[in-house]
Amino acid sequence: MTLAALLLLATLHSPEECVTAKSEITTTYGGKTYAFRFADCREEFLKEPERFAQLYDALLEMQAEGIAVTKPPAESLVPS
Amino acid sequence: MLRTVTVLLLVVFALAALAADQAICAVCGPREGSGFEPVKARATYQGKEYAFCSLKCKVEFLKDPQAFLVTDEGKPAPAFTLKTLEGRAVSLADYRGKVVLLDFWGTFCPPCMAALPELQALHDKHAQRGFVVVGVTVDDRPALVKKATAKLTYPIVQATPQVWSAYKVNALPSLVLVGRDGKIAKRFGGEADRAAMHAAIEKALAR
Repeated sequence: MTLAALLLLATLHSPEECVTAKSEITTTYGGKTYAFRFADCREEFLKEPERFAQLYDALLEMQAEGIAVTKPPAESLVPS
Repeated sequence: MLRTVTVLLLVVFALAALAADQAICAVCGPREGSGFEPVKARATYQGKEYAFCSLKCKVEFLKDPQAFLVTDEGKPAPAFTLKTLEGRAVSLADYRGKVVLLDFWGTFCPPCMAALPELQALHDKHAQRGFVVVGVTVDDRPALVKKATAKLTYPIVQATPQVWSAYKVNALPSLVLVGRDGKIAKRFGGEADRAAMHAAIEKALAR
C-alpha cells in the first residue's frame, strides 16, 4: 500500500463515526434522507449507496436499541 | 370444536413462521459453523440476500462484504457422505468424473423453491453428458422437504453443520459447481447468476 493510500485511509471516517440522526450534510436514497457527521462520509456513501444505506440503517437501529456503535480506538500508524 | 381447530391452526401457523425465520448467519456461519440461528437482520449485496444473527453481524458484513464472500474456486471440493430422506448414503465420491452441481437450499427460502424445476430440467438435459444435480437441503423438516421434492429425480440429501461449514454456505440458495476433477469450478447465488451458471456448466462439461 502506498503512503498516499495509507494517508487517505487514515483521514476517512469509519461508518460508526459518520452516522448521526441530524446534520446539515445529507443525501437522499430510496426516498430516505441520510445525515452525516463529515463531508467524506457522504462521498463514501454515494460511491455505494445500496450498501451504505443498509449499513447506516443498521447502525441507527443499533443506536436506537442502545447498542454502542462507537468505533474502537484505531491502532496508531506510528510505532510508539 | 371449530374454535379449538382454529386455535390449533393458528398455533401451527405461528410455530411454522417461527421455524421458517431461521437461517445461517452470513458472518458466524462460515466463521464458526454455527448452523441455523434466528434471523435478526437481513441485507442485500450484489443481488443476493444475506441473513444475520444480530445487527452487529450485519454491520460487520456491510462494512466489508468482500471479506465474507467465498473465493475457493479451483480448490478441491470437500468430501462428504450424507443421507437421503430415505436413509441412503450419498457421497461426493460417487460422482467422481462427473460434473456435479450442489444446491444448498431450504423449503423456507422462496428463491430456492423457485429454482427446483429449473435444476431438474438442467439435470435431465445434461445427464447423458455426465452431469448431476445434488440437492443438499439445510432444512430440518423432512415432511416439507419430501413434499417439495416429490417430483424431483435427482438426489436430495440432508446437510449437516459440518458440510455447510466446509462449503462455507453463507446464504441461500448457494450453488457450488464441482468439475470432473473434483475441484470447485464456480459458486453461484441468487437468480442474478443464472446465465453465468449455465455458461459455467457448459464449460465444465466440455472439459
